[in-house]
Amino acid sequence: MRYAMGIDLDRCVGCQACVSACKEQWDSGPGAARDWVHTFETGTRERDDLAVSFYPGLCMQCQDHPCTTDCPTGATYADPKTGVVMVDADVCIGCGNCISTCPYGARHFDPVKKVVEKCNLCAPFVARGEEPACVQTCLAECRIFGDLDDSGGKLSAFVRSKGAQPLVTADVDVRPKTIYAGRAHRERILAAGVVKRYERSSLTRTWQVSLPFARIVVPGLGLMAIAGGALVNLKARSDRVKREGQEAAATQPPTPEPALETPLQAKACGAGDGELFRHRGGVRFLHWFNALSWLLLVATGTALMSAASFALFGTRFPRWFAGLVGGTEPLIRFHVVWGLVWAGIVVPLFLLLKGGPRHVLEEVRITKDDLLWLTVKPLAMAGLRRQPLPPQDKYNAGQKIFALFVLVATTTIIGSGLVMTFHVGPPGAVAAAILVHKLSIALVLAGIAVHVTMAAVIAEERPALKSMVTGRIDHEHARHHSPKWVARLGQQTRDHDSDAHAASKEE
Amino acid sequence: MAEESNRIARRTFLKVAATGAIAGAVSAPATAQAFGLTRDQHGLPPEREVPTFCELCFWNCGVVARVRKNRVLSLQGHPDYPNARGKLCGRGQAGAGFVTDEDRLKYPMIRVGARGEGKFRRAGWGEAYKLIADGFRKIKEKHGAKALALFYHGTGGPLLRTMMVAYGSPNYAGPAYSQCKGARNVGYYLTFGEKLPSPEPLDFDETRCMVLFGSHLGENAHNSQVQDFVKARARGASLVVLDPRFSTVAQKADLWLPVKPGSDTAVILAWLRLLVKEGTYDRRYVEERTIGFDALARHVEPCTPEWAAAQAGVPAKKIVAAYGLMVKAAPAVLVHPGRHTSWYGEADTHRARGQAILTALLGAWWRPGGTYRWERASVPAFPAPDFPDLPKDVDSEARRFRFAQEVTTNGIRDATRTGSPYPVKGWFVHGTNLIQSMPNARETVEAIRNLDFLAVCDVQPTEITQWADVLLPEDTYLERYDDLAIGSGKAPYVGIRQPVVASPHDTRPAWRIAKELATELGVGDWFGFSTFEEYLDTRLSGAGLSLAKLKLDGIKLVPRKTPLYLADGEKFRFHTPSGKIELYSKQLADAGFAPLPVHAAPPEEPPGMFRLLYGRSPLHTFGRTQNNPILSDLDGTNALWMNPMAARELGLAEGQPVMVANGGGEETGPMPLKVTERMPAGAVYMVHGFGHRSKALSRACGKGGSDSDLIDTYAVDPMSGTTGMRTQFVSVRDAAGRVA
Repeated sequence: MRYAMGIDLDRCVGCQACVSACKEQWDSGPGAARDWVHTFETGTRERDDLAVSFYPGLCMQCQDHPCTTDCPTGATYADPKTGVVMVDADVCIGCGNCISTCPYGARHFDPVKKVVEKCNLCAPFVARGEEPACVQTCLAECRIFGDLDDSGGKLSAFVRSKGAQPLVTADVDVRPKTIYAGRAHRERILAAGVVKRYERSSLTRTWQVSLPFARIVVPGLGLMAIAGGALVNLKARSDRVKREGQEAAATQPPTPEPALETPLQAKACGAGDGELFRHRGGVRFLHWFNALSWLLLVATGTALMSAASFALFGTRFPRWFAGLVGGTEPLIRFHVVWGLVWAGIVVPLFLLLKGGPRHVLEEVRITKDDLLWLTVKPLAMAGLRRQPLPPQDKYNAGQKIFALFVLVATTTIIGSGLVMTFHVGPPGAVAAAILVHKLSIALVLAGIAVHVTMAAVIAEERPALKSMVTGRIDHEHARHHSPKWVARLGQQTRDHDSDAHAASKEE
Repeated sequence: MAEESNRIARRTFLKVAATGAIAGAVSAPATAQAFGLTRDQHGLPPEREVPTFCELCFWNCGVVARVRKNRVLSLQGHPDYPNARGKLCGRGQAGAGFVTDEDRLKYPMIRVGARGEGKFRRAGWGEAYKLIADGFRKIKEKHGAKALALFYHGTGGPLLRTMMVAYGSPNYAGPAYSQCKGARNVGYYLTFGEKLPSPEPLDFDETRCMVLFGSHLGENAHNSQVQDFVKARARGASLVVLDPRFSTVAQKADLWLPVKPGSDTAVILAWLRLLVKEGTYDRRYVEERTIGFDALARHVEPCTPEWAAAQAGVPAKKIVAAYGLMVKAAPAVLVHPGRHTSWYGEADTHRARGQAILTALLGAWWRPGGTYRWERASVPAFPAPDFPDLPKDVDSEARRFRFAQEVTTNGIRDATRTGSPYPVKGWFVHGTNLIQSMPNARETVEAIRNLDFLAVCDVQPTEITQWADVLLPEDTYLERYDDLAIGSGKAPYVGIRQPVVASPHDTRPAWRIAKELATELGVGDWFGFSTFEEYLDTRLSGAGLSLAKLKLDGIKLVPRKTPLYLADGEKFRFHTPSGKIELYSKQLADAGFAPLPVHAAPPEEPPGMFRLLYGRSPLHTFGRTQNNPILSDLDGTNALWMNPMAARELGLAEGQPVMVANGGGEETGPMPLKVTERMPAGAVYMVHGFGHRSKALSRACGKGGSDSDLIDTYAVDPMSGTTGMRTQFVSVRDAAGRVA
């Protein structure tokens, strides 16, 4: 089935009933309408060859539909059943990216609805057995709606009897299904230059440039981090084997731990012997809720980029994923609702648990030790340095930098997400938000790869992962990795023996 | 129109969501449509469909309104209405905008500032009625009821007329006669003895040749007539168009005669001469049905095609060629009488007579392909007492406009201005913006300043409403009952207007205003019904029709009683004094007018000036629709059309804002210039109805130019009383320094 429109230019009187009916039917905002009637005048009185041609235009329902390849969310698509090019207003985020791709200027940004408007041949009305609004009301009856594949239908008859043809040029032919009868008028309309070359928007061009980064660099970084982690493990094991061999040879008794603070701390925080209480339940929930959200949002977000120019790993994955959840609309709805819930929980809860923005900044403040740590840690990991690392606070400098990075990126992601969700600002702003959103996510994903490697791959760091589950951390591990924090904990516990809050605040 | 209720829910949701998401980060745009949280609400099926008829213009197209809750989703043409046939023009489609328009008049208001200042206070209906009744009573006591006048335009008008006549005034008038169709109606009535109905009884179905004079068909979207025209053309009927401007129909014509403005009659006379000389007129029809042929033959003797060519500035061979098309198609020739024909004054009735005589010589009157015999459904009036004996109206008292079919608006305005033949001191103005709908707004304002009392009833805050002492807000046509549409045409019918949605404001329908004000004035006896359904039911029962069924169907087609055409040999006495089609009009001769049409060339434009022509946009009706949300968006301003050579001489360029002045100190604009070969060198053109000045019309105020602001030198036709308005010369200048 190929639904299409035929227009007899010889009959049109330019009364614009079609445009008004369309605007009423579809509630197009100021300056927006899904169709139009332009007037072209040629000739002179002197030569007695004056002519006026009305050009009743609408979506040409191109079979190559360049607009569908450049829609970041996949809101624009060709209905597989009817061939009609549609915009799903519930999926469109109003970035306006498709507008410049249309050779006929058939797409408009609706300033009220904040989405892109275009003719869908009145699909829901046609589905109920009606004619499109413009056809229904055309006083001149110059519009014929029908199925081009129905050889016995009125549209095919119109093509045969009137020689109707699409408006195409030698340069631009995207196989439109909207066809025009009335040769003289059609030629004047074409001569007026109504068919424009397809132009890629700056968003699409930027996206195309950054696609390799998103496709290769981010997963590549992840793989590299994991591989690096595995290498560190291997080296640690071989070191241990070596050390154990040496120790066995020397049979020296192990040095006793200076376990000064342990009993106090254990008492204060209610943790078991040999363990420090590191993460409250709220923090652990926050962490895992955040992790789950990232997983879901990255998956759905990736699946949302379904148009050819935007899909990360081909158009198949998005289609498959959308199919799983019942279409793109539930997908974007899920993404948006979960995103809002995520932002609504993560931000306030984080600030609450951390005792306000000031404390957060305090925790991620980079000290002199941190700077030194940052320099020597890689050397140590590479086995090039044997001396002990500079002492670190609750979070080491790497964690701090990652946290800072995540704080900035989260703000950016939420901000740009809100711009897209609520269509804030002109289409250009939404288009920019798309880039910002995805760039921030890509950067965070690179960081997450390192984070996950550190926590889950590198064996030495596993207590940290465990602490995010149980809340407790092995005292030995803490003393080793966060001596400053451990020292401070001990200090505070001595100062405010009975006040457990002080410790928990520092959490 | 907005899915208002859905939007509100969505907006609330948005705000909650946004607040929850991130405190104070973003405030959601109030009307953002879709972002994946809520479903797109468009394309939902209507909850109910209500038939009614349109009032965007007065073609009275049947409408089926699709409604959800109290909101119009869309309007569609009623399939059974002969003048709609399931279609509506661009204006009709946009009608629901009047319901939701925030600019509309929402409650009765009483003036608190100076007249014309537009300062009002809100009032109750009772207080407003009482104030009007007191004002009218004082005038009646001092000057007699004839010192009161009603101006009206629209379906609600006749009941207000009943009120006014019952109160004793003979002075009721509408611009639809004296600023529009008057001369045409008189010319045809003098010739055929018939008052032309609307739609014009033109037989497009059978015609083989159409002849149009300055027609705006297509630019004026008279629904069924546009449909008929296109179909006839597609069927192969030939088309002759006379128009100085290359109009939409000229573009479709086989022969376009770009006549000099005001020279149509010369071409008609040449055609009459050709028909007579070459014996190509319908001999039998003329002998059987007409009188005065010999006088006509003598009269047109000097009117050769060459003479007409010199008068009209078109080649004689084109005039002859057009004649050839007519003769070839006769008698199936459709000579359109036109509609807005108040162009040059006395010449207009002559031109209409010429068109009528041309129709008669071609044997096309009441013959297939020419015109058909129209018939109106017969529905009795609501029973009411006899009206009181009325004094003479202003025109009769002044012994002017001998052949006028209605009292003239200009006659009443003159009486109000000058006190002659007697003073008019109180106006009730319903549904017509006299500041725009009459030429020379200065005279209208002068008249208003002479009034003791001015009551205005309208839907929108037009210019005249700003001058009112008491301002009554009317329901829009989608919110009210009105009197029946009694349609004439090939298929007579009765149609109903009924409420589609409820008015969101303290507005009332015209029938109720008429009844309640009449009661206040002590003439409530003429409104012996308590609800309008009772009124309609009484009338319909009298015709054997059911109100309940009509409310459901919207229209009842009534079988014809008369044949569609005048059969050859059928005896018929025309309603003229002679009982025949009067080619020669003794009536005119007796009254001291030329009994046969004469061509009088209008004066040439002075150097440096242009004749101002005006016309229609298919998306606007007069000055009534410029503020409509959809129509203002689709067609927000008019442009001044000017010939490229003239523009070059003035150093003006396409799109440039220009001011248009009338030489008498009035100026309009700025409006964009449209440089086009479609205009002749000596004339400029604009669509009528723009250039609103009422600030209360937020979308339309200050957009474009107003022809009625410029037309001071109108010419009154002494026969019909209509005001010729293509008589104004204007100058054009660059609007620099006054750019909008």
